[in-house]
Order: sequence, then C-alpha cells, then structure tokens
Amino acid sequence: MTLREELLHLKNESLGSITNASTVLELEEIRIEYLGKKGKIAEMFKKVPHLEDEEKIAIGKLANEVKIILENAFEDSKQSLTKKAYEQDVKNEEIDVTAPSIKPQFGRIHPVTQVVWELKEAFEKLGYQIMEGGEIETEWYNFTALNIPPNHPARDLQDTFWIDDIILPRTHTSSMQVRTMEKLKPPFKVAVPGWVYRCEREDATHASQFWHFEGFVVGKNISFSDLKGTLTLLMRSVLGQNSQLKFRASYFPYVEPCAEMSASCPHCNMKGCTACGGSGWLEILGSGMIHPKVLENAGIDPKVYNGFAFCPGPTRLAMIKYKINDIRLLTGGDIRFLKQF
Amino acid sequence: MIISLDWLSDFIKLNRSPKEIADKITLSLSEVEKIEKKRSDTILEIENKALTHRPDCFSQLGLAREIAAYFNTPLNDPLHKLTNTKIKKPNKNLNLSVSLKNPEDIPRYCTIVLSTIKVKTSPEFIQKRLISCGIRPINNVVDITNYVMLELGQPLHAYDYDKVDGHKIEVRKASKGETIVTLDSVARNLDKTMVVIADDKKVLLLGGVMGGKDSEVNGDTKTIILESATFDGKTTRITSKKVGLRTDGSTRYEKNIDPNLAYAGLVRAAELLEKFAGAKVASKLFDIHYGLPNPKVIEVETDRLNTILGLSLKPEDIKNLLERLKLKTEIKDKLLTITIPTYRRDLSMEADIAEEVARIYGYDEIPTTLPKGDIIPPFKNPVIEGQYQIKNILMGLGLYEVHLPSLIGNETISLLGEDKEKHIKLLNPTSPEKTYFKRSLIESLVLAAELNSKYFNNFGIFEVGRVYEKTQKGKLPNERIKVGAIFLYPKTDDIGNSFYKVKGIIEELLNILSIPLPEFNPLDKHQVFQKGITAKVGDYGIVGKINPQISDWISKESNVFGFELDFKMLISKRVGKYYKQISNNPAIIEDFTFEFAKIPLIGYLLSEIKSSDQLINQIDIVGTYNNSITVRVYFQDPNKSLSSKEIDPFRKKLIELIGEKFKGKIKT
Repeated sequence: MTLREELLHLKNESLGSITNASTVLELEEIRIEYLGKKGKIAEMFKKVPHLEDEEKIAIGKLANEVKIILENAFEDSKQSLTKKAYEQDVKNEEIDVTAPSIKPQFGRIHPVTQVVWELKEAFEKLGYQIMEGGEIETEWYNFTALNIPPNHPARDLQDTFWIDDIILPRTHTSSMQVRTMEKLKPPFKVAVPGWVYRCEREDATHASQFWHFEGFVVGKNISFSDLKGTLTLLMRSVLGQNSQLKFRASYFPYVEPCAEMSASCPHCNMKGCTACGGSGWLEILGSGMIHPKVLENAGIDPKVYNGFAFCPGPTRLAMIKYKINDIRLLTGGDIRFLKQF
Repeated sequence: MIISLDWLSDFIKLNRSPKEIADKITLSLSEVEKIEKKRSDTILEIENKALTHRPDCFSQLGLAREIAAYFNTPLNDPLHKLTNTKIKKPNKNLNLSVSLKNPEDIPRYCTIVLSTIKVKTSPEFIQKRLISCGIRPINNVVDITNYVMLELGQPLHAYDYDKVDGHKIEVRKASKGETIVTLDSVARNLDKTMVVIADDKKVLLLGGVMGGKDSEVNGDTKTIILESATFDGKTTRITSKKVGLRTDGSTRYEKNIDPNLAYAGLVRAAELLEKFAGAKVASKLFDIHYGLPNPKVIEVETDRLNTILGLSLKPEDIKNLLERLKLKTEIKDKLLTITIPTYRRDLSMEADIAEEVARIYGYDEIPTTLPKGDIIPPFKNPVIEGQYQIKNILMGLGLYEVHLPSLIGNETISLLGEDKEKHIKLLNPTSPEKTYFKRSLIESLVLAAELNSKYFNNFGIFEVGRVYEKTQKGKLPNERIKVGAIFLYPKTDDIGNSFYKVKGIIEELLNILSIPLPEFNPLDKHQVFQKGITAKVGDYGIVGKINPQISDWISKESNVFGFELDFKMLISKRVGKYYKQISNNPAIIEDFTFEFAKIPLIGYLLSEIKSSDQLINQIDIVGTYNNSITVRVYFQDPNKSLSSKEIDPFRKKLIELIGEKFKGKIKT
C-alpha cells in the first residue's frame, strides 16, 4: 500500500469508527487512537520527511487534509453525542412532579402572635411606645384607680379571678394605664400587649385567658374625633383597607365619653355569615376618652391634659381573621392547628 | 333590659319601625340584641352592660326619654305630676308604726297601708305588658308593684298587713343568725352587713333583694302595707352577692336609684291599686328620709366641649342637643349651665356632658382626625424586640410557637413531682385543671407534648411566656419571661444525637441573637430532667431529657427533651455584632490524638483548646477510641499564610495544655 492509500484507508477507517462511537468516552478513545500525540495520523506524519520531494509535498498536504477532516468529524460527533447524552439524562431523570412534596422543617408563629405583631407595627408607625406590664396586679391598678371602686356594679362587667383580697390576675391591660401614667410625663402614646384573665367557664367562645392590646394617649387638647380617626387607621391596617367601621355608645367606667367599635365582617361583605353570627358586623373593641378621675389617680391634672384609651383584642381579631370557631384551640398547643398559619 | 313598644306608646308617639328604633338605641345607648314580636306587641332586648351606670334606663319611662331624644320627638312624662300628687287622706286609720335606724343604708323609706283589697287577676293590659317584659303575672297586687317597677324603675313591695306582727315595721341591720325564707322558698342566712325590714318577731324582707314568704300577699289578703323604698346600692350589692340572689329589685338598687322616685312610685302604685284592686288608703303616709337630692348644676365651656369632641358646635346647638334629653341648659356668652334631673345619677362632670352631646349628635357623625403634633418614632423596647426575634428564630429552626394557659392543675404538679404549695393559687378557680399559676413553662408544655404525641413523633414546640413565683403574702408575685421548648424524637433515634440536636438549637438561637455561648455543665439533680442527660446552660437555664416517668406519660414511643431559658438574662448578655476578617489564606489542618486515663468532658476539652490561641480557628472531633480522642485543629491567620514551622510553638503549647489540664498524653 502506498502511503497515499494508507492515508485514505486510515481516513475511512477512522470516519467509520467515529460514526460507530456511541459515547463521548468511546469517541475520545478513538480520537486518541488516530489524532493523539502517538496516534496513527502522527505516525503517518513521521513518515513524510523520508519521502521524495514531490511526494513529500503532496502527501504532507493530504495528511494535513485528513487530519483536519478527522478533527472536524470528531468535533461534530462529540457535539452530537453530548447532546444525545444530555437528552438521555433528561429522559432518565424524569419524575412525577405531581407526587407529594418533601417539606422543609420550618416552624410556625402562633396566629395570635401574628395579629399582635400586625398591631404592634401599626402602633409603632403611629408613634406608640410598646410596653409590657405585670399580669398579676393589685386591685387598685386593675379596678379602683380606673374609677371602679369596690362594690361598684361595674365590677360585674369583668368576672374576676382572685389570688387574695387585693391581688388578682388582671382582667384587662387597662391595668397598665395608671402605672404608666405615673412614670411618664405627658404627652405620650403607649401600647401594651398581653394576657388578661377572666373567671369564666370555658367553652367555644369563652376562655379564662386571652389577649388584649391596650393603646392610650395623653396630651393636650386630644379629642374624641382623634380617637375615632386613630381607631379607623389601626383597625383597617389589621382588617383590611376596605373594612367598614361603626362607632357607637357604650359604658366602661374608666372612659367618658365611651365608645365601642364594630367592624364589617371581612368574610361576607356584610351579608351575614357564620363568622359574624349573621349580623354582618363584629364588635372589636371598647374605647373612650380617659376619665378625668383616672388621670387624677395617676397624678395628672385633667384640667391641663386629657387623652384616650382603647383596647383591641388580638385573640378576638385572630378568630375573626382566620375564621377560628373555638377559642380553646388558641391555647391548646395542637400542631395540627398551628400548622395552618 | 326589655322595652315594650306598646308600653312606649304611652309616652311617645313615634312613627318608626322597630328596626329604626333599635338601630338608634344601638348607636346611642346600648346594643339591641333582639327584636321580637310578642302577640300585639314588639319588644327590643337591650344589652344591660352599657346600662350599668343608668338606673333610669331600667324603666320604660327612662328608655322612652332616651328614644324621644334620639328622634327629637315630644315626651309625655308623668314623673312631674306623680311627684306632686298628694296621697289621699285615709278614711279610717289602721295601726302602723315605722322606725328606721340606719339612714345610710336606706336613703328613703315610703310606706302606706291600703285596705279593702280584692286580690284577683290583673287587667289584660297589665298582664300583657308584664309578659312582654318577661315577668309572670301572679295577682293584681303583685303585678301592680312589678308594673310600676318596670314603668318607672322603682321597685316596690306589698306585705299582707295581717301577717305583720304588731303592725310594726322596723328598718334595721340584720343580726347574725337571723334567717328569712324568701319568696322563692329558699331559707337565707343573714348577717349584720345586710339591711332588713322586720316586724316584732320576724324578718319580712331582705333589703333591696326580695320579700319574705311569711308576709306574702295571697288570695285571702284584704289589707296590705305598700312599701316604696330606696335601698343603698352598695349595701344591696353586698347582700345580693352574699346570698347569691340577683333580682329585678337588686339589679336596680345596686345602681343607686333616685330617692325622689320612691314617692312617685308609691303614688303610681296606689293609684293603680285603687283602680284595679279596690284599694283605699288606710293610714297616713310614712315618708322617712334625711334630705333628698336636689338637681345638680354643671357648667361647661362651649370651646372645651368642642375640643373634647372634635366638633365646632355653637352654644345654641349644644343647648338644643341637651334639651332633647331634658337637660335644662342656659347660655351665658359661651358658658353653658346645665341642670341635671335627679334621676340622671350618671351625670356629674364636663366629660359626662360631652358624652351626652356626642350621643345625641350621633357617634356616626363624629369626624375622624388624628392627634395633633408630630409623630415621634418610638424607641425599640429590647424586651418586646427580643421576644419578637426569639420567636422568629425558633420558627426558622423548625419549632411551632404555642400559647399555653398560665394556669395548671394539681394533677400536672403531681406528675412533675413538684410541690403545689410553691405555686400561686386562685381563690376561685373555674376548673381543677386551671387552679395554679405555672412556675415553669415545662409544666404546661408537657401537656401540649402529650396531646401532639398522638399525631406526631418528631417535633418541637416552644413558648415565650411568663412564669409566676410566690413572694410575700399581699405582695405581687415575681413574673419572669422564659423561653421554653419541648421536643419529641422517636425512641429509635440515638439519644445522644437527639440531645445534641436540641443543644444545637439553643446554640444557634444564641449565635443569631449574638449572645456569647455559655458552658453547658452537667446537672445531676432535677425534678423533671433526667440525670446524665441534662445540662445547665450557663446561668440562662437548663436543657435535657425529660425523666422517664414524665416522658412515658407523654409518649411511650418517644424520647422527650426540653429546655427552659430565662429571657431577661439572655437579652442582658447580647453584644454588638462586628465583622471579623474572613481569611482566604489556607489553614493548616492537623490531627492530634491524646490518650487519657479517663476520657474528659469533651465540651471542656474543646473550649480549653479553642481559647488557648487566637490562631486556632476551628476544632473538630475526629473520633474517640477507648481512652483516646482525636481532634482536628485548624490553624489560620487572617493576614498571611502560615508555614508548618510557624505553628510549631502552638503545637507544643497545645500538647502541654492537654497534659497539664486533662492529663492527656499525645499519641504519635
């Protein structure tokens, strides 16, 4: 065989091998066999210098052409094999994406805490200082200082647990009003979240322990309309901007004038549903202008200063917001419940 | 309180639907909870809570006054006429003596004898109206006393004259040991705080609450003693609470009704008894009091009132609003002088007048504004922010936040082997499971863990809440905020691994909060935690496995772990976060194997090595075998590459240290 024939044979042989190669790895072996430093083509080139001048040029040229053809063939084949390999991988890796997920281990924040945080954020934006106070209180701060003297019928408005004659778990976060007023110099805006306790038989709507988030403001020339405006802003931030709010008369001895606020039911567009007991409206808080006697009891001159106080209930708001129909779920610690928020 | 719209028509002519009337009452007074048709009448049921300060609204007339004001419609008020009507002179005078010993408990006592009574059923309209208001008709005498109470708000009582021994009425304090069988046939024990009406021999009536069975009016009654008294609110309330009996009478009296009403009530009842029971006056009128209240006068500045309400009313506007409520108002410049009828016991100051103006003006018409002045951003309260962060971090670490009752039962205290005497106890618990305040979050967390163990076998729950510690009697207890958690891991999991997971959660929590990690020191004795798998977390608290009895009660299939840390201690140790140079210079990593007579506590060993030199960036335990431990030490300098030669002195130092402190020998 002449060198020319050998070269052409080598070209055909290797092109055949390239075509037959089924993997990139196989292809690479073939490439090394032919195009490697010690490959068959390299062997050919070694023979070229020994040829006659004329043949040297011709064969040299041919050998180069064969080398380029093979290099291109390898490159093409490599690309198509790689592509095929990916296609195969993709096919192999196919799974049923509708099958159940594997859940990351992430906990939950209690729904009432979530409402407390929403209120906290709204309070802070309006400039309220968030404070906490004792859950166990004296009769003075819980009742008497708030214009509810012993044996006043208003004491019946809040069924009270007692620890002894004068100490009780607070029935409302209003117990922090006089305590705070004694410490701060007006003007101030304060909000107090926390547990409150009532001596109640427990059922789906009554708990012996639930949350309050009291807000109060003391300053000069504060008005009832300021209270209404503040409540409207705050409650819409929790219940939604389209929430309708109703302001009406009520009675708590520590505020005068006194007002209760109801909100349109967020679930039924006021048509009436189970969440609102069919009325379309939900009572959400009690409020009013701080009673002059309360200010006096805290050593603040009611002729100079006045203010307002109000108390949304995070427990109640959470129940409304998430359509929770049994208050006991909130203190049950059941993960099946907590997982939902 | 129930209002009958049929009855209301005696006082006002109003062409409004029950719904319209109800809506106005809800807006301006108290919520109407129910509108109900009752035969030819319609009743509105009004929530009592917001009427606590309004004894006048416990009457049809009082509510009519309110409604007349809301709709600005004329009121036919019989009170003035009744107050000025003279009781008829008796034809014959039956014997009666009345004595009153304690005017402070009974500001006014009016009574009269009525004879020639024919006890029978009441006329139709009285029966119908009583039924509308939820009172069962009995006979004309009893019904008329009830009718007047509902109409005017003045409770009355009729005694059978012939059953009153000695025809003698004595108003006095009860003495200890005295009893009365009240009209509901219950024997009641009395004490000296209670006021009674008594004759020579027995107690006739428990003051402000209920009459006695012994002097009850029945079909045979011919002569009655009609009583219209003003019992003091506080005394009535104490009595009513003590005997555990609330009546229509006590509900009104405890709100301190107007003594002026006693006489009007007596006149009204006598008038009706004459008409419907053939009654004739048979004694002089006894009207005992030591001075009656006069109308109060309150002065209010128009500008002040407008400032309080956020309105800009003219003095005349305010006068018009107040006079709709029968509050006579005089204007002098901008000063309003308001005369308060004595039945409005709730009005005594400027703020009260502001509320009256707002109620009639309409709460829905009050504008919405915000307090004037700049909004000053509040400072971040570390107690509030700390709790917020801890909750978020623990959630991120896979735990569920729970809110659990602060109150626990004796059973739980016993389960945990604790002493109930150390817990604060409620005097009036509503259930045995909620009687004592918890002293540790674990006490309620175990209950939640038990509940969840029925559905899950691998979880963690946490609470950031308070625990309550007894102090001296009469003093407030200590309340401490704690961070507590409970974990359940399957029994098939390695106990050590489970513990280290919990320990890891604490460390990660502290790292994120930038609280220096404390030492975890083994704790041998604890009521709740298991010996050998429990550690003190510095001074912050405790972590460990819950001991087997409790753990088994929670779940037989799981190992239970828990921790409790003191919140205030944690946040007091927070330090600033500062960037520490990240080094891209390669670390020199070397393994050291030490041999000990007895393997030391690894935590102590590692912290000793770690603190021995700044260049030690990281240490891992490669393994322990018999009495030897292999540690991998990473030497790294943030500023340069270290050569093996440079760390020679540190190697030596480390080996010496282990030898000195732990009697460990390097193995080569």
